[in-house]
Amino acid sequence: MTIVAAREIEVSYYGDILVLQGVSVEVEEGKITIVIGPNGAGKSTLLKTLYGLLTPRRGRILYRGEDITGMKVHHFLSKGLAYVPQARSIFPELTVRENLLLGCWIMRRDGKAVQEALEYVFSFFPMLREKQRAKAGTLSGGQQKILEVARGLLTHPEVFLLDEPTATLAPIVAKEIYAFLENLRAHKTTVVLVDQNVKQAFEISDYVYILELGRNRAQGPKAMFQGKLREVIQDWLDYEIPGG
Amino acid sequence: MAELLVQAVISGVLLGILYGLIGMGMNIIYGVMRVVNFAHGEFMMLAAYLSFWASHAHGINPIQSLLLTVPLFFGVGFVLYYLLVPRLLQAEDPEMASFLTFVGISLVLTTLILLVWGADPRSVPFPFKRVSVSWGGFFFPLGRLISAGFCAAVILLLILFLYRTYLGRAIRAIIQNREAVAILGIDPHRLSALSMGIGLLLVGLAGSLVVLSFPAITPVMGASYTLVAFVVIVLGGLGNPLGALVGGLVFGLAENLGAVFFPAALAPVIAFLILIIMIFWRPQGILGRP
Repeated sequence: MTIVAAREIEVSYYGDILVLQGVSVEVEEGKITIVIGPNGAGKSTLLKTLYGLLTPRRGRILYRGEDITGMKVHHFLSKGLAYVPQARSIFPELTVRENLLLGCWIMRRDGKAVQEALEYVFSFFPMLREKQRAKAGTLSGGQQKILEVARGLLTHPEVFLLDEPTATLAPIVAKEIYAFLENLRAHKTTVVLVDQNVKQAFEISDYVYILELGRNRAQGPKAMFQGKLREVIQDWLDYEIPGG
Repeated sequence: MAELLVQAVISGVLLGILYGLIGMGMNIIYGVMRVVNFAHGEFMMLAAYLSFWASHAHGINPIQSLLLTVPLFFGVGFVLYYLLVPRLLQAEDPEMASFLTFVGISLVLTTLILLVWGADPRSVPFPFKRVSVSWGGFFFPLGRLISAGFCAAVILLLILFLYRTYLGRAIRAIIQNREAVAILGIDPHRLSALSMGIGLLLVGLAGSLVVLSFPAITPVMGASYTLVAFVVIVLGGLGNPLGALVGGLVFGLAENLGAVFFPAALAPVIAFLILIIMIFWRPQGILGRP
């Protein structure tokens, strides 16, 4: 069943210059859908639009069949959608624990649920329990990203959108994050992952979307691209270096 | 000489706490919205005049008048945010637009006070029987002592609020990363409006209490308090609410210790020299981050 869908969305940052030119995606519930493509394909823009940070000029965003186009960003989490942006989204001067507590904002009146949520993410990432009194800004880049991922999961979202969670991270940390995301499938959490790290993202994926220059280029279940990744990437390189 | 110095320190700390409160209000507004409230001192004078009015017309003393000014100023701040700030932040040049807007508001407030209460200095009758209390051979001016006590209590509550409640943490969070609060389910506009309400509430409180330290008030005094608030937050660290408290104490001490060695009229000069030195030595302020 489709849980999140974008239908023919057009997005521009400035005037008539369209970054997304009628992109459509259908995200299957409980599966890991990855969105890949060369630089400037509009992957991050797609994710931002799905999460209400950008409003499409045309087209619609659907969540469980309900039109949520134009819904304010701060309503998404209580709807059941969480998002980890590419840019740093932690609060560096707040402690790790305070960062996590703010992740529980929508259930702040239920102290028991907050405690359980904290225990839930601590069980996945014991490092956060150890560092809970440290200022978030003192964590390493990888630890900060883990904090962001953990913070997004506190409310047990149905859909988890992540924008390049492993960019600039050490390979060992990246591996941990991919293993963790793969694990979410067992928890029935739907994952939408935008990634430059094509190979590793593909490994954990169920369904693949390829964007190019703001358009759908190709899409299909993982099996469809098995063994063809090399060609796909070569294709981008040919595209990016004219005549290459 | 030593006694004079101690007396100046007492005075400086008592006033510094009040300055700190004024600065904390301005700093919360600046931190959350990146907008400097150049009408801060004028709002403070408005509160002072409301206390004057309450005292003259109804025999209510300045401390009792807090019951009026605190909720009123919170409401004004909350509404003012929705009226102004989202538009200002969308302006082509938000800094210039907000500067002009808030200077405009300061002129409106000053003129309003002039129209209602006239240009003559007004004074609020001192509500206590004794002017000062002495302890250990030193004199504590009672008005300043009580006002500082109130301010200290409010500052303590404010710190508990900022560090121990969800809303307070969210305010600290939005100061550090405005983009990131909405994805946690926090409405950034509502949070900002609450912060603006709190910022004005604090300056309303300071305005009602300032008449205990300086009973004579004039409509044009606001500008000097805006300047004090601005110096205090630059000294302490822009956008750091606790920094404003430190800045307020430094400013209060500088002003009062300066008056021991130099003519009293030079006191503000000394305070501003400290500001200039600070800008060269540590431009991010005492508690600010570079």
